[in-house]
Amino acid sequence: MKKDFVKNLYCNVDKSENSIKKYVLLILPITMFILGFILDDINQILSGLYNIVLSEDLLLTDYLVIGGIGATFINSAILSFFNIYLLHKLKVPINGTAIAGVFIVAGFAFFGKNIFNVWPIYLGTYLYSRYQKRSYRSVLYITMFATALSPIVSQLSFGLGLPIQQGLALGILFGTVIGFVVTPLSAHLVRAHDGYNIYNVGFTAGFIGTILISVLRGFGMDVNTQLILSHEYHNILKYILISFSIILFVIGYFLNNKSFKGFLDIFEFSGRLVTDFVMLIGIGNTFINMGIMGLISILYVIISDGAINGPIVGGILTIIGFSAFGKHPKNTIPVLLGVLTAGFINIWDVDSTLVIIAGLFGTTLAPIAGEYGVFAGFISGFIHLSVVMNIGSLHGGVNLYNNGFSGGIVASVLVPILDAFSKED
Amino acid sequence: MNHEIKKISKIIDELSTFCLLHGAKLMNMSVENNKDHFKIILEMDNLDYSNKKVSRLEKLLNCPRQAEMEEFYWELTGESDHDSELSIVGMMVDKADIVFEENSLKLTLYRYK
Repeated sequence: MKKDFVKNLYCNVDKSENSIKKYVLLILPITMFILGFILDDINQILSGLYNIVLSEDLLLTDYLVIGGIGATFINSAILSFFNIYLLHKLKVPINGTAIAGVFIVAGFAFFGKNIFNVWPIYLGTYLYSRYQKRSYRSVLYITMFATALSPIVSQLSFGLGLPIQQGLALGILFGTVIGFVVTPLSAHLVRAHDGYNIYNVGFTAGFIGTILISVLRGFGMDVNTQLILSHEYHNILKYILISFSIILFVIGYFLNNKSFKGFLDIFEFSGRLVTDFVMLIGIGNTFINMGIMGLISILYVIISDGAINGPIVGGILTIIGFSAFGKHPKNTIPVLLGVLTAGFINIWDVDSTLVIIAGLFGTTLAPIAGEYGVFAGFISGFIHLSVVMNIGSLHGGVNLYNNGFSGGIVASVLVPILDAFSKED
Repeated sequence: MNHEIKKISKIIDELSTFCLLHGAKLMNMSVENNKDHFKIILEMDNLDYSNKKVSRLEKLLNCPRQAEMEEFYWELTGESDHDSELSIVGMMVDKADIVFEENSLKLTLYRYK
């Protein structure tokens, strides 16, 4: 057996396949854009967007309450369009990370990211790339994820009672500084959990948010989590998400030559960073996985007897996105069951939004189940619920990826312990 | 910082971990620090090609260099003794010559500065 090959830069970027991925990514924002204008009139949308922009955005602020369904859909669509445009303009290949990035922005645009508060983060990462004399595309993925800290911009601008000019200046300044430092920090902190926490920027943002809020509290400015949640859009959101998941599944089936060939290979991967399913099992199977994971997530919410609202939509869209980048049924379900079981026997209500999103976002720990088995995944989910319910107060809710912060702590502690029980080399 | 030297060290760490985990009994590695590129040559015997992770080697190293992924995840390379991060190695190099012969493997990786 003798094989030779030479790899050249960008030799494997299939332009037509890349275009297909972009079109598929556009399905959700286009749908939301159209539905936004069908469900609300232009005046409701504009006033809703105005309210969303002026909101403090701390966890959990459901934009469906603040701005209504039309404005929330338009907010999510605009941010998604912008990120897809950046990927296109900067010629960044649409891999698993890019897909996850677009979906996480679309999801969190239902409760925390808006058309005002994300831009200072983009500015900060841009200045970092200029300072390091690198292209902006090299930090684009991190930028999409780093908008987790967007609520700091809103909170400083509108939440501290400062005069509007001072508030805006402070918010934009802090957002820009955060964008500047988040790249080296996230690259460094990934070593703490060895890639077993998929939402690594959430872990990083948790530390940044904790330090920042501690400093603010030292100056007598307190910031605390809040709970603004909707219940009235459950059915329409459920049908949209189910339809979208089925569409992804069907597109994947057709892109995979009308078959499921190779799909089962996905279960061989632990999901530990970096597991790019687009590269490893192909785009067709990746979309099939995304569709299946979307349906599993919705089923989890239904089993928990929860009402689908902004944060839960964010959780489901994030799972769908990260099903291109590490999550599959085998490594995700044990974590979901761990959180669900903890919800039943702990003090929290299993049907509350906080517990449900702890399950959905808790799947950041899926690589533990993938690497160490079902029981380890179950335990990680079980512990995660308690940690995530306590850790939000540290950063006052300014880190939207609170579960990524919690997941990073759980993984950093649990992985060395699990290794201690292993007798392998 | 660009961490260029550390990135090369990490690539070497990952490759040597991969080889030892998959049956290497003898392994030789050399690194050239040239004017415009680094060249890493790895030769090893006794490679277990029936292992799926080994057979996936070509695919993982044969992906385009992706600065945006490298920026995010380069510190993970060489960090785990469970799973290999060859996909990141593939994203960190510009060119890979891979020769399988019998049970031996010769890898030549190029990373332009």
